[in-house]
Amino acid sequence: MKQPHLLFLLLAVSLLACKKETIQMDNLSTDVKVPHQIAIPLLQTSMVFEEVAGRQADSIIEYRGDSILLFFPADFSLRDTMEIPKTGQNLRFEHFYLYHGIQNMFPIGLDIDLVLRNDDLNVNLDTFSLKGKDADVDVPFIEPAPVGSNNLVDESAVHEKEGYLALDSTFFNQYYGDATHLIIVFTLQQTADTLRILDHYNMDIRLSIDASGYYIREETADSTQTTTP
Amino acid sequence: MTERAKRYLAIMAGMLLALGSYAQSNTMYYMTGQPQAYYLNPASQPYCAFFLNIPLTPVFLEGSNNSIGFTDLVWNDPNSDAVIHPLHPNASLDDFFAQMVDKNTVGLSFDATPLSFGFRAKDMYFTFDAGLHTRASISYPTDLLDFVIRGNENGRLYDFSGLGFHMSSYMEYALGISRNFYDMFTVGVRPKLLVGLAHVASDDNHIQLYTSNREWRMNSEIELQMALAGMNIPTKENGTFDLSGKFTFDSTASIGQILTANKGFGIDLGTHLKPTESLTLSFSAVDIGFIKWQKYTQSTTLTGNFNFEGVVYHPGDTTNIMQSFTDSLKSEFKTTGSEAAFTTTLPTKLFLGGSYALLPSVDAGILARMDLPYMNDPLKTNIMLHANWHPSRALAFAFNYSPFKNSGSTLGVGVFTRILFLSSYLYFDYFPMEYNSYKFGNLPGIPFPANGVKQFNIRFGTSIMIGNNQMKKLKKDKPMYYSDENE
Repeated sequence: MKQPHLLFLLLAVSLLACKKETIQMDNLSTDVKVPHQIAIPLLQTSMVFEEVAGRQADSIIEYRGDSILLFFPADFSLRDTMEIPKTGQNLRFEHFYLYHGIQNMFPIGLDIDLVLRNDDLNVNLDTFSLKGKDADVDVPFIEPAPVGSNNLVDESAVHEKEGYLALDSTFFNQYYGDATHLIIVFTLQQTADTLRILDHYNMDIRLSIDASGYYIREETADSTQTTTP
Repeated sequence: MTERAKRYLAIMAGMLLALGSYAQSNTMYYMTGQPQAYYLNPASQPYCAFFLNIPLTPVFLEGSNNSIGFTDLVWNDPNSDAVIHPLHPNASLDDFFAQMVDKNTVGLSFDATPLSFGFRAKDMYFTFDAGLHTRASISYPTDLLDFVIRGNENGRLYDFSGLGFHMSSYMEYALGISRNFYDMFTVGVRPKLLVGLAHVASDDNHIQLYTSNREWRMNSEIELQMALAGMNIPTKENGTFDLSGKFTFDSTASIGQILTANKGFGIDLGTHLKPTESLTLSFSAVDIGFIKWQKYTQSTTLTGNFNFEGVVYHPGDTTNIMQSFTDSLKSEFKTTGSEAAFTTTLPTKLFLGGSYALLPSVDAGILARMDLPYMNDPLKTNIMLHANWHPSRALAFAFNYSPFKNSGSTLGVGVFTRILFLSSYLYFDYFPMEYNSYKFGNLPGIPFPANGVKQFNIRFGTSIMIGNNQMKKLKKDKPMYYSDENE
């Protein structure tokens, strides 16, 4: 019976006649670049300190009949330096926003500065102050609670402050570019030199992020993004 | 196996892997003298006096893919020597997602007919078919793929409602009756008794997720419907489906009780009108009907609204954070269920066409087809040009061409042959006009349709046809004057 043969011949001929291109699957590239983004609320936490050690009188810690005064040196800061890895970085950020809502009853705040440094040239490339925003006005990342004339925290004046820390392409271009080290500087902020200590404090924190970037893996020999050994 | 046979097998495999199309071959619509044409229009009458399809034929296999195809997944990069993919640095993910539709569906249908025969009685033709029909599909929303690959955008509402699947299998017992009036007008009707065997579906879901840096808010309603003839579906005390339970066979029920538990009814209607000797106008509606699943059923609905505003953590609290988060999530979702009956419809198709006899052995025309929404599949329309060449009653070819189809031009090809009383036929729809050959090393290339063609189906069968000159004989015998008194 020749007819089925005829049909197959017809199909084969029509297929051969309409071939568009050959794709050699052995040449399939394993390079990958995937843009990725995330926007997510991260954390809601409340830190409460109650019954702070010591005798209490009207919610003020006393020692031998006197309230305890706390003294902070001005511009007390800590710094940490970390090397920026230049290979094996598959995940690259384009922007990173950290949103926060903080109700801080402590009379101590916090500022964070990021310094991008090229250690080979012995030069600091740029400094990014991670200020918070309050009605478009720069404020410390964590603003210290207001203190009254009696050197006590004014609890009625403590409210939640919202803000965000923005690291955008200006930062990341240098981070992934010429910078070899990242220096993080934490600076404590305070509203008075001396403070009287209450027997209770609390801090409410909400954190969320909005970030974008991409995952990249290239196996080209001359690329600094090579991840394959 | 010869090289040629290997080549044929590779071609067949490639085409089957490129599965596509929707419900039934279009190419055979105007092969009106062939036994299988009445599947698309019950008014079509075979020219033989009697036919019997060889058991288990005809067989029909089709797949559907209304979205990205294989050629969208790997291609030659014009800027390099490499073969690249949508996640490659030289590719554009935006372009990749732009090719997709909101609800992407991949489906597979399989029909087998263990018993099929028909016979002529003067101007009438009677057919009977007992067949097994199985339809399955899964669907996924583009938003879900976008969410998984590219992450979530700040302040965007994602709609995952297109997420679903269904599988339905039923037996169909169809009695076809067609009558020819004066060779000018033919009408046909094909009522069907349906016996539901299995139905598992979750295709009417509503899932939305709003994401921002402040909150993730999910609203969802997910429904799962099941009916498995003869199987007891495990349920919990509240009537919902018990995922950890076991399916057990109902040994108390007889085969008859099982097969009649889920009945349905369907009908095909059709007509051919010949206003002139050369012109044929046709209309048909195929697979109008329903199955009522009454026994061995289970329906479970999961509804929930959930807001996430960050992990709540209290220093010093010994509660497991993830455990409390999971508990909170669970408490926001409620399941309800029942063993109530439910009804499903058949995948109804409408055809409207015209054919003109250009030569005694060549017909050409146009055919429009509309697939009504069915399960995961939306409304689909297609307009095809067709041509049939039937040099003899023992050999016929059919072609159709879809120049207007969004997914690329396609060709339908069919052939019918008969030697004495044994006939066979083979039809392909959505045959690609162009294809790419995908090669691994020196092995023969595997063809896949190019230019976004994602559809394909195949129907084949073998029949015993007796009385192939019956019509000729009837015409010869027809008196000049015809009245009831002559009978």
